[in-house]
Amino acid sequence: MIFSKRFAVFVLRFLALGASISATTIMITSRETVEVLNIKFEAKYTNTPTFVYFVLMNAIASGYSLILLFFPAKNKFGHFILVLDLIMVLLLDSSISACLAIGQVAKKGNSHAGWLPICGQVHKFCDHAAIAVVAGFVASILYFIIVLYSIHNVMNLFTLKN
Amino acid sequence: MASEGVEKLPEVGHEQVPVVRSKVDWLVPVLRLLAFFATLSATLVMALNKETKTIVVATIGTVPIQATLTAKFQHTPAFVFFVIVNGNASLHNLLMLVVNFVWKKFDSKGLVPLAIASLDLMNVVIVSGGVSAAAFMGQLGRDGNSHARWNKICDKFETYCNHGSGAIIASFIGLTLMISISTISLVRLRNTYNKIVLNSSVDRSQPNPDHPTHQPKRFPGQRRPGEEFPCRRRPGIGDPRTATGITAGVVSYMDIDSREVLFCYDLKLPEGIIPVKEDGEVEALN
Repeated sequence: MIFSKRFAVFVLRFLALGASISATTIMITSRETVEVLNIKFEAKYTNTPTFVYFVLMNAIASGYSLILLFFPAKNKFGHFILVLDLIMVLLLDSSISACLAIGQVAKKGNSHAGWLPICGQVHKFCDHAAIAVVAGFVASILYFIIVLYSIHNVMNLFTLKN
Repeated sequence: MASEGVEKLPEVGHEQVPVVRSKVDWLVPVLRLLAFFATLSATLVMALNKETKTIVVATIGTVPIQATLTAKFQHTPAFVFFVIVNGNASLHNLLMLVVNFVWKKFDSKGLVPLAIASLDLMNVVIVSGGVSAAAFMGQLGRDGNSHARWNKICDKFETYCNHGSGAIIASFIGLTLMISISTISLVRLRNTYNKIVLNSSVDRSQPNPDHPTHQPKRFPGQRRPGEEFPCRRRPGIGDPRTATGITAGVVSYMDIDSREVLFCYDLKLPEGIIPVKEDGEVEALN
């Protein structure tokens, strides 16, 4: 394979690996203890299953990227890798969506359900989680670009004919 | 033909490489129809999700004060996103179902299968986002969150919760169907492009040394390319004199459900024979 193509896909996968690993670690290390009126609030990422799902999906995606970093592109497993890439994009995208939904409730509350916003009390935790979600968003975009690249590898899209 | 000193081989099978039509032309349209129904039902059930409940808030003396609470899907942005995304997906499925049958008249460049595959991809990703957001909000509503002091609401609004979970399940089913449609379309796309490369004109007067049939061990009884052998069966071209066959090569390809191997031969006729279409086996003599 041409060296520049291999280098390009390697860099792409490396960036995606970096993004998903950073999303995982930032979310794991988000933790805040706040004392309000002698009551201790502790906000961790394990409090809601959404953030746990987010951490899990990003960990799976980083493990997958790590393994695939050492595979050359355009081998006979091209289709299998394409399907796996598509699955990774789906998982990451769903985790981002869920975190945004929960984050919106945490920030603005839901008056109809009687849910008060908590970001006012644990705003450092909120910011930390928001940064992790942004990193997850960047990872999701990079994985989508990798899927487009995999499609191009598997079928030569430039031989369109009549 | 006999005037030249060189024997000219009539190209009997040249245009005749039979392209087997895929026997499962109905697979993707049926899946699309099911996915359309699934996403449509998810949209409708969630959009019409509403429950009103009157509960007694306080009692002053002997007069109970009642409050009317409604649970609508618009209260939660996640459910609004869910409705929008599923509506989009059902419209996309319907459109692609129609396009599936009529695109051959409008497309001259072969871009339509590519467009269908990429639109499918995008819709699958978006629907997965909508479904998971709604699912996690539903889980929050069902179990509450003790750390954030958020009470669960499903014990008061049971019908609302049940309808919501039904819509989410329907959307999950639709998502699974759309993923399989997308995968099948992508695999078929590869086969389409490979067939384009195969059917382009190939010079078969000389054996191609790069062809994979030059490898030694293949199927039992297969002859090497360029080898001449006497025809045991009468070739249906109208003359009882013997012809010899020359192996030209092997074409094998694989669709998602079928695999075809075609052995291609050239017929070498003795001088002076003019081939005539006899039975229905020979399609054209040019």
